[in-house]
Amino acid sequence: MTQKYRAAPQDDLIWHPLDSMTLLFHRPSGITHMLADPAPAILKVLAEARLTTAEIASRLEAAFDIDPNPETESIVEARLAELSDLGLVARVPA
Amino acid sequence: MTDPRPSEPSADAGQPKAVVTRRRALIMGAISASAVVSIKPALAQTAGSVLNCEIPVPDNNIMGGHIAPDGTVVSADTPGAFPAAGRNFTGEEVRQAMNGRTLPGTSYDQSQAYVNYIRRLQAGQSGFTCYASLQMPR
Repeated sequence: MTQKYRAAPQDDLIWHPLDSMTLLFHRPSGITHMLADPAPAILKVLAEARLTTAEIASRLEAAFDIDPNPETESIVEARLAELSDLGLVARVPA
Repeated sequence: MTDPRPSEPSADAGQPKAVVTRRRALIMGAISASAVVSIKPALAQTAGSVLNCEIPVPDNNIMGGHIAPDGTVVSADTPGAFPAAGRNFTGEEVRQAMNGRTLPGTSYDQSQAYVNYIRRLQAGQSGFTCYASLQMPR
């Protein structure tokens, strides 16, 4: 079974973009997160759909105009683990 | 000749393709480079955190519990106890209630009971970190 991810409910999040990073307030935990790329982009694509790591990597490559690269998926996986630990994304069955 | 990308019409103009590729790749960062720094409420002194964090009354784990006037969680048949609030209160609402106002949608006595419950919160209970943030000097 392929692992998919979804973002935390959008009503639980307050976004505040800054120049080089994004502030994200998570209402349930009361914790403010300072996000650097590509974490905000990952959360944005997951707000639109439940996706696998490969699907997220593909969408980010398109958004950032990056040539397809196997390393992208590894980076996305690392960021997903980080965001998951913080309760900003959740693992869901495919 | 192709049109410039609508999202970055000028940023890449005139730059060698290799430079553009490297710059775009930097957006993704490295596997080992953390992309998130978190500020927990106990450390956050920003007004925003206190305004928006939430405190359930009672803790969601205490289903069916009523709140006695002294703030303790009691059974539903306890005389004088108030039912669960039915909604979370924001840090700002609690801060105002601690300064004499009543919590939204509650009577004076009910609000006092809920505030007493919140004052009794301990580490590990839902809403504790939010309540703790209210205690911090601005």
